[in-house]
Amino acid sequence: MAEVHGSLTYVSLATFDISTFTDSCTGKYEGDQHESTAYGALGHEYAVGLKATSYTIGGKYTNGATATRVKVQQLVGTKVAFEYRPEGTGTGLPTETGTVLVKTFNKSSPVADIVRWTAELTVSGVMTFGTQP
Amino acid sequence: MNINNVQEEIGATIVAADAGIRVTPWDADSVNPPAVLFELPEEYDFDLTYGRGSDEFTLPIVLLLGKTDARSARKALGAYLDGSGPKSLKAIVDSSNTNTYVTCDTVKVRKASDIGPYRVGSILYLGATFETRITGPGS
Repeated sequence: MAEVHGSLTYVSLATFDISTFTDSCTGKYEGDQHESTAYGALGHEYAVGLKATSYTIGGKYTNGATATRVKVQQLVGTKVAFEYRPEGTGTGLPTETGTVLVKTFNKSSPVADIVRWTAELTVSGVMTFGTQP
Repeated sequence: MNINNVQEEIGATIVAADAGIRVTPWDADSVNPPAVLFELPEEYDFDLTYGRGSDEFTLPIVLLLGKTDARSARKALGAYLDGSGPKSLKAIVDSSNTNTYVTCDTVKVRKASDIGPYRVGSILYLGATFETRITGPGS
């Protein structure tokens, strides 16, 4: 068991590698819970519900043909493929793949720093957790 | 992103601006002001994005004018410290849509500090250090 450095992370959106202008990726994995407690029980009981997954990604805003605007912002409101490799790229390393709805895109322009962006991705269906070939 | 290449390109940009500023090697024994010389960055920040996408560092650009007791040096300093104008070092060096660099992505003079005397050999020159933030590709 060892720590993993975040700089190795790989993310792609619509099959395009956006890693080089991305510096944060936070996955949120949830499972619905349904109350199934009956009278007389001493504690709550729950039934398993649907899964819900979302990701928040962000980084430095870049220009050009393979820019943030083209490769992320213009995908808002569409469903595209998403892949997240939290330990980087390599045979046997984990990967999460699925289809996401690009829900929001935000960019900010601080006067004394470079332009930054964030985007919220909502998973449609479930993510597939596997290993890289 | 190679700091030597970045320094050379910024130096060429300063010379091309024709503001009367000479670019002096950092190890020069003497200077012929007005002149700039590039100090080494204190730090070089790697991995600002995933996949070796982006690195950053702050490049100190030292501007030296005439001797500290020369009235002309003090008068000239104002024009070089000005945020705009033909002699404004910030206006000359900052990257923009019309002033682009190939050795890095962005060049931004963030502030001028240590405004005062600088010793070169036995001579005190009036000068200032322009802290210039450089961003560029990591690989």
